[in-house]
Formats: sequence, structure tokens, C-alpha cells
Amino acid sequence: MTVAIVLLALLGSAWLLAVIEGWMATGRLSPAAPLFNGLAHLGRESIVPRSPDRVFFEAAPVLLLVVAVLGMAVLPLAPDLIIADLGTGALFINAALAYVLVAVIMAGWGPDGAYAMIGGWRFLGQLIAYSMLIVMPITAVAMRAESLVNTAIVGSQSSLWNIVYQPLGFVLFFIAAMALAFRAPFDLPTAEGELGGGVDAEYTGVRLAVLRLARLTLVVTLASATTVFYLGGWHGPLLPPWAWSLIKTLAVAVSMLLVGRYLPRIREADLMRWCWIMGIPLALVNIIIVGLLILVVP
Amino acid sequence: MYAQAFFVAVFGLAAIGFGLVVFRTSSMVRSALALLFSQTAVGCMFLAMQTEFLGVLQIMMMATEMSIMAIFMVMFMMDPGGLGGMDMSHQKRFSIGAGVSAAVVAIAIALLSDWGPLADQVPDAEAQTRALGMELLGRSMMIFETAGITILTAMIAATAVAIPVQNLASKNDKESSE
Amino acid sequence: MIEVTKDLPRSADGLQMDWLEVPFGPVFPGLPGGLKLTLTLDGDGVTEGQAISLVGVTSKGDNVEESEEMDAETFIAYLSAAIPLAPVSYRLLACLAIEQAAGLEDDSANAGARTGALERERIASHLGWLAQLGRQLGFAWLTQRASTLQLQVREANRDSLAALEPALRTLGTRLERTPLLKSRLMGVGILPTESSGLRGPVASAANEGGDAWARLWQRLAEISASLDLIKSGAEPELPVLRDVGDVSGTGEATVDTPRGEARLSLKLERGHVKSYELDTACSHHIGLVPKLVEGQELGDALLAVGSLDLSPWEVTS
Repeated sequence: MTVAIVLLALLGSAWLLAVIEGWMATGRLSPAAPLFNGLAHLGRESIVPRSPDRVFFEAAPVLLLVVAVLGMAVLPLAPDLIIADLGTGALFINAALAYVLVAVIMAGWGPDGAYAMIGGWRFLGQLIAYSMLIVMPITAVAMRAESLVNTAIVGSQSSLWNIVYQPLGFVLFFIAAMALAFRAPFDLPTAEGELGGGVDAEYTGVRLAVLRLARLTLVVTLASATTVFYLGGWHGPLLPPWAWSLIKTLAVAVSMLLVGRYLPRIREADLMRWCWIMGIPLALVNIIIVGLLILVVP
Repeated sequence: MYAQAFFVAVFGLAAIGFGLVVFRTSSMVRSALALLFSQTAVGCMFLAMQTEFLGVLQIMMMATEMSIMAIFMVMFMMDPGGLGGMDMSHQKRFSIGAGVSAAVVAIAIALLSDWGPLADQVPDAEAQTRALGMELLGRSMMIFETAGITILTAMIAATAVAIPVQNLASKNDKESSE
Repeated sequence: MIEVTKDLPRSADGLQMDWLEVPFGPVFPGLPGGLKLTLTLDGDGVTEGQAISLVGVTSKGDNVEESEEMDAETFIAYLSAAIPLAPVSYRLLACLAIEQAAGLEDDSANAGARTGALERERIASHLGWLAQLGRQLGFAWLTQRASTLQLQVREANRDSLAALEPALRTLGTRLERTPLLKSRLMGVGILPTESSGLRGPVASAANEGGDAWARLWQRLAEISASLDLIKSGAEPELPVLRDVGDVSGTGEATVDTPRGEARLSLKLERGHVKSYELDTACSHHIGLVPKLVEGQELGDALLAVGSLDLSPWEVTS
């Protein structure tokens, strides 16, 4: 039952996100568009490029989708609305999301195309930039909760949300999450204007539909993770807990889409430089500040 | 109990299977990713044996490590796609010998060691994590810190060795002397 | 391993790898349609590249066959249709050249309206370039804003241009405030010092740093200047050829098109164009591409090519 509810919530959020994305791009609010687009993809010929690495080519979109769903499985929507409340939930998110990289590399290598391959390897460079900024802010979050259990992390924010307690960590995590989801301005692997779609370029038909769904799901999962780690999860007045979780998750996801609209794509070298010269020291400072707060403030 | 043994066995066989694929393919990327999935299966074995933290950690670390290994293999190996039919194996007899003797030693240790009495109760994931943390920041701290620094040094050294000296002055000297 | 790689060319980062020759265009989202860029890629870096146009206009018509001879009106229509990215400018160019060949005096009555139309097209063309820049950078807001404005400007009269003026002028402020944009464009596409044949915004920006950032600001400044010109001038009107009759003669004209100066010289015989020669800015600029992309990262190389605002139709063949 819980599994069905969470999956439905995930699918619903992905749909809503697609509607909003279409709204921002075209100015028209058409709730049925994602459905029709999806159906149209199913109806189109799904072209297989010449001499692909077939296993990678077929597996990549599915792996990306599975990974995004697995990440969602350890995130609570409400105190008892969680598929698996693992003892190492906060670490499991990292483990699941690490396979986004594997999926993107497979999607890049698989089709035997130059645009896709460059896109895939670009994402590996991107990982080297963002991955520390995913892990280190979560460390500080787990420090405050004194637990890796995601429900305990939400519980630790009942009086004060982490976005206030450790704003620096929130900013770093939000940026890194966008880089992980390869949304603009971090869409280096799919860059439309540079690589003509990159890792997306060779996918058509059903496979493209799965890939698009996976990317939307990934954004929802990351937004949900941001909610759980920084925005107090299900906490909030009046409305039921699950409603708060969904509202916050959608707000974070939409803000991720919005930020990308107003910024030009970042250069890979700049991303790397800023992440390592600014980001990682700041993340360490964040850990130190949180550690001091925990020790000093009872 | 039986279910647990079953899953340990399945993941163990998967690990061995993917391990075989590593050597059966000539595509460097496939090889690296097969190694990744072999290690992931080992991580799943940890999970099946109720050591959650170690399992999740193994699964997480391997994804990044093996992907980075993949790009190094693509960078340094000729024919990374394995389309040229190049034979990359060498020292076959020695490797077989080393592999077989290592396997024999490992099995012997597994069978002959005194593993102590069976635990009746496995501590839950949180208690394990806590115990592991105490271990890592206590007695074993030096070992792990040393290992970390060593790996970092090795990584930097490998990259430095791969890049030829880019000293323009000395290059010009060489050209003028030729 | 060493034996296999030793003869491969060495790239800037010192690693020896297979190079890929990858086509970008003629239909590529980040480049104007019709332009084909062939880049030799070494990973994410470009080792060499060249651009050709697949839709260029013919630069010369010598002793056109009797049957294919065009009368003056047909020639004007032909030239403006051949260059869809700047039809008004080339229409004006053809009109001026034919009128000069016919020996007509400069037309002061129509000059204001013609300048208005030319400047209006300049604004629209630069907006089109901004939209293209947005597409290349994945900067969705800029693409949407600039292309909406472009559509509005194209057919606008003086009053509606005055209404659009605040929107056009704030575009610059907005871009100046956009984070990451400056760091993305500064130092990209710097022209080699010995480059010659520069015209238009590319030439003017060469003194201001000569990179993509300078070219962006040059174009924004030209939008402002054109707005001022239109405001103080006459209502923009499409250039129409004055009655020239069946005259013969030779004429030459120059028009400062949105992409730089274009020259046309032609020979009229009994009201028909006997021969012509066209010289456009883009034919010169396309030659800059190999130097601009060499040794750059892929994204920077494409930005550099984009910042030249090449119109493949204006590349003469």
C-alpha cells in the first residue's frame, strides 16, 4: 500500500512538473500535454543507431529511472509513509544517486555517437565537481540528527528547520542537486546548443519517453531529498503531513526549473574550479559551524 | 535463514558472473562497468548478510570509482570500444597460476579458520553504524587515515605520470638541439 | 600501448587520443541553419575546424544568358529573397546600385524612410542573434524574450517601436545583471591580431576587447543607436525602386547591413541586369572560423563562431 502511494505521488509530481515545464516554455497551461507527448513517443519509431553497445543503450534509461525511484524509496512523505526507513537512509540516497552517473555514462557510450559520448564523459567531470557537495552537506545534516535515518532527520527539525540552522549547507546542496539532475545551467551532458541534445540525442520513441520520465523523476527525488534534509520534511501547520511534504517538494522542484531559465550554461572548467575552490571549503566550514552549534547550544 | 543464504548465494554468483565478464569482453567500458556490477553484487551480499552500512557504502563508492576507472581505461587503452579485436591479455600462465593459488588460499582460510560461536542476534543497522563509527575514530583511525592519504597520493601520482612534462623552455632546447 | 599511440598527434593536455571529426550543422540547434561547421574534436576540445555555407548566394553574375537576364525589379526581388536574414538591407542595396546605374540623383525624399527600414531590420537582426545566443547558452529566458521582441520589431512602425523602446533598452541592463553570463563570454572568441576583412559589429567590437562579450555589447549599443535614428527620422518604409526605365550603365552601392558593410556593383543594359558582383561581410568573417575555434573547448568554440553572427546566406560562393 505504502509503495503504491509513494509511487503514485512520484508519478503525479513528475506529471505536474512536466506541465509546469511546458507552461514556462510555451506560456500555455495544458495538463494533458505530458500524457499526449508520452503517447506520441510510444507511437514513434524507436530508432537504434548503427553499431550500438546494445546492452548499455537499452539499460541506461531504465537504470536512470530505477535509480530515481530507489532514491525516493528511503525518503519519508509522512512519519509512516515511507517505503523503507533504512538505518542508513541518508547514505543510501547517495548510493542510489551515484548510479545516475553510471546511467548517463552508459547512455553516452551506448549509441556510438560523438555528441552522446562527449556528453556522457562530460557528466563524469561534472560528478567530480558536485559529488563532494552532495555528501558533505548531508554529513552536517546527519550530525544534527545524530542519525542516518531519514525520519529521524526530519524529526530533528521539528523546532527549527535545517535551512535556518545550516543555510550554507542548504545552498551548497541545492546547487549540487541541480548539477546531479543535470538541469540548466548544469545541463552539460545534454546541452542542446553545444551537443544537440548530448546523451539524449540518439534516443527516440519509447526509450526517449523512459529517459524523459526518468529525468523528471530524478528532479522530484532530489527535491524531496532537499525537503527532507533542509525544509523540515512533513512539518507544517494545519495541513496533513503528506500534503506539506508534497508542497515543499514541488516548490523546490519548480525553483530548480526556474533558476535554470534565467542563467546561461556554466562552463565545465568553471564549475570544477568553483566547486573545489569555493564549494568544498564552504562545505567544511558548514560542518565545523554545525559541529560547534551542536556542542555549544544544548 | 534459508532466504538469507539464498540471497547471499545469488549475489555471490552474480559477483562471480560479472567478474568473468570483465575478462570476456574487449570493450574497456564494458569491462569497467562489469567490474562495477560485480562489486555492487558484493555490496548486495553485505546487505543480505545484514550489514547495512557496509553494503550501502560499498554500492555507493563503487559507482564513482569504477566510472572513473572507465574513463582512465578509455584514455589510456587503445581500442577502448573493443571493435578492433585487439588481444589485451598477457602473461596468461602466470595469471592463471596466481588466480588459482589465491582462490585456494582464500577457500582454505574460510574453511580452516576458527570463526568463533555463531551470533544469535545481529545488532540493528543503527547500532552497527554507531559501532563502526567508534571503531573508525578510535583504534583504527591511524590505519584508515594512512590508507586514505596513500590512495590520494597514488591518484595524484598516476595523473602526474600520465601527463608528459610540459616545460616549454626545455622543449624548445630539445628542438633547437635536434 | 605506447607503440600504438606514439604516432598519434598530441593534444594540448598532453594525452594522445583518437580524434573525432564531428559535423555541426547544417541543422544544429546552436548554429544558424545552413552553416556547416566541421570540428576535429579531441575529447571536449577542438583541435581544428572549418565552416562552410551550404546556402550561400552567388557572388557574381557575368554576362548572364539572354534567357536568364533579370529586369531590375526581378533582380531586387531575387537578391532580397536570397538573403532571408536581412532582406531589407539587400533590397536597399540593389535599389541603390540600380538607381546609380540609371544615373539618378540621390533621393533625399525617400532616404529617411529607407534608413528607418534598414535600422529597424538591424534591431530585428540583432534580436535574432540574441535569441540564437540564448539557444546556444541554454538561456531559455533570453531566447524567448529576444525572439518575441524580434517578431514585434520586424513589422513595427515608428509608434509601435516607441512603445517597444523601454523593453529593448532594459534588455542590456538585464543581461548585465545576469550572473555567469560575463564569465561565460569574456575572453571567448578573441580574434587573432592580424585578422583582416572585419566589418560591422565584429570590427567595432575588435577595439573593445574583441571577444564575444564585446560583440554582445556592440550589438546592444547598435540596437540603442538604431532606435535613436528611427525616433529622429522618418517612418520606416520598404525601399521601392524608383522608375529607371530602359537605361544602361554601371552602378555601385554600399549598405551597412546588420552584419557589416555589403557592396554591390552591377551593369545594366536596357533596364536588365547584365552582370553584378556582390561582396558581403560574412564571406570575410567565415574565414576567421578556423583560427577562432582552434584549441578551444567545444562550448567556447561554438560560442565564438556564434558571436560572429554568420549568416550562411550571405556567404558568397
